[in-house]
Amino acid sequence: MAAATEAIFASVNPDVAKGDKLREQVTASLEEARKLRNPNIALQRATYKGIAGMFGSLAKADAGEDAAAGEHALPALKEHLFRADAGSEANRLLRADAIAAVANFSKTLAAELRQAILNLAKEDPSTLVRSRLSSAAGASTS
Amino acid sequence: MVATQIAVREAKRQNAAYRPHAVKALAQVAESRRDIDMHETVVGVIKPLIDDDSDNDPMDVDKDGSKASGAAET
Repeated sequence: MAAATEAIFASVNPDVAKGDKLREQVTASLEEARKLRNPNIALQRATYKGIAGMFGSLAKADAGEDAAAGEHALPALKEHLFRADAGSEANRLLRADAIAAVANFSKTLAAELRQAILNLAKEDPSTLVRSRLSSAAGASTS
Repeated sequence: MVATQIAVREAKRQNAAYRPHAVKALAQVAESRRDIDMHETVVGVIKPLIDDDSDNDPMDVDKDGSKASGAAET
């Protein structure tokens, strides 16, 4: 299922899809990945990498912020990125990178997620993870 | 275009041991082909797998029936 998650996020292509179509693709990808139960470590890693890659390519293609403004995008992102157990430091770093990619792409999403990001940063034992999360939280205000 | 068709065809194969590799390859093809929109095609392949996964509770599956019944007898 990790491979399926990778494929679904990788298939969102902001170089070709634009406007409503792109927004539908972003939301559909987040929703499909949300359906997977039993998120083991491999699946979590694929999800974090997929979200980071997708939002990275959205930013690179200069897609408008509304590409991630689908009705279900925010709840799905919250579910994917703020799970209780993200495992090892390596895994939490991947999660922090995914959060940073989302925050760098959209100031609106960054503002919506800011408090949750700060809470995560406060609780994380790793300095590196905390620092990445703090800079992601800062993206909403910069 | 041929590479994408092959990747899609392979990812649809039913062999459970083979499929993860084929799906991973499909992900790599989708990621590298920035000139075409593969989203619908990929969702068409992946959605049944995801739906399957969410329908089947692994706790209900008893892969080794003989062992399970043996355990029940003891």
